[in-house]
Amino acid sequence: VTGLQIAWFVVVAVFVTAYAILDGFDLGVGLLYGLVGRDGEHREALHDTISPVWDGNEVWFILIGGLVFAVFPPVYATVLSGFYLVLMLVLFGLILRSAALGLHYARVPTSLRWVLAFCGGSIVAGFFLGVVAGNLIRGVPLDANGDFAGGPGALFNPFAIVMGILALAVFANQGAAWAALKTRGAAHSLSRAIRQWAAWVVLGMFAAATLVAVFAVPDHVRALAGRPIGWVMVAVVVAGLAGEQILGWRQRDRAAFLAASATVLGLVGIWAVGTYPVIVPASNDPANSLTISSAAAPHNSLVAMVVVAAVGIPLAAFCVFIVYRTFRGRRRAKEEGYG
Amino acid sequence: MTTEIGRQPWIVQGQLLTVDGVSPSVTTGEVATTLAILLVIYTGVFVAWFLVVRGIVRRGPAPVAAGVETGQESAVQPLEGGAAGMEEGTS
Repeated sequence: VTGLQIAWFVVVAVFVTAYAILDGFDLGVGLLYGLVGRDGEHREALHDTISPVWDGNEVWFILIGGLVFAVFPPVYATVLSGFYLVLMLVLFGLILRSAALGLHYARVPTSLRWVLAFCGGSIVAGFFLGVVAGNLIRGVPLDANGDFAGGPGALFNPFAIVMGILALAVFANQGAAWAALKTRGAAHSLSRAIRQWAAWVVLGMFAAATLVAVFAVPDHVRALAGRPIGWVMVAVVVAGLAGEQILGWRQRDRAAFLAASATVLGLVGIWAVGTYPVIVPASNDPANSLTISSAAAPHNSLVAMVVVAAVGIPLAAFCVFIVYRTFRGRRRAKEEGYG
Repeated sequence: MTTEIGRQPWIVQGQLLTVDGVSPSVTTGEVATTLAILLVIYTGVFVAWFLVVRGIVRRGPAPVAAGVETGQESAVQPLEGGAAGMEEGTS
């Protein structure tokens, strides 16, 4: 394993974290849609908090795909072929919610069909993203060539289902923290109340997932427990939830959202630290696993990607900064010019 | 269709045969099923879009709400209505 290969693995983990934090909150707002009842103003407020940013957030998903394709091509090949059905379900969910968001200007957000598309699409996408994460931790059957060797049923195992539910809880928590940060009035107090509950749900699901993991993915748990930084990541998850709860009580919405985001960082960190140096574990024979060194693109490609990233990442970061700065602060009711 | 069919049997001309590039684990049934679902979703989205746009067209343009409001504000200077319109446009 070269230093450059490890650096690229860390960059992939950072991108996954960025995606989970950013698209996490807008998927979460989609989940909240199902909880706020039929109040049109609440829903309008929730929609407005994500409408300028959700599509940009989803681009991080594409970015992860492009990055893995460039720096760990066998991982891209194995995961996109092997997880085909699950990833298509994620895609269908994303299409439905995006179509709902796109048609929002037609003033249909109170219709049942619209809510089903937005809320249902968000739930489907969030759940199956968790299933993907669960299977990446648990490992899948791989042949000697590193290709996926299981049937479509191999991805639907208890651990992956638990991870799907954990992902939904984390996204809902993230969405509630975001909505509490961006809204006023009744929508604000409702979002705060949901946030304070959601943090507990995440803690409970994290404990449940940990318990299942001890039996379902003992190798991952052992690797994680054997590394100090693994314990740091677990501590970040718990401290993030505790911080979110305490800061939430004190009505510090921005700090509470950042604490919730730290929890997401810790969860992705738990994956990265526990799986290192493997990226896609082979559940049938560890020798078939795709590791950082076996899956990395040739050295020259990795160097070329450093140049691409040196230009691209600051550019993307600048755009993200501009968008979030432009739409900073809380949403005002019915702004002019957005009819 | 011309490029895709014309390139066969290559998926990357002269580099990689389609038969070597195909996913070993994705079955024809899976591809057919997901393609069918995709067609259903896109048809649904298209119908929704068509109904929405038809609704917008049938409703017609709003009765120039913004112009009426600024008209009231500048009612004391009716002769400068054109100038007020300019200001509104630039602000």
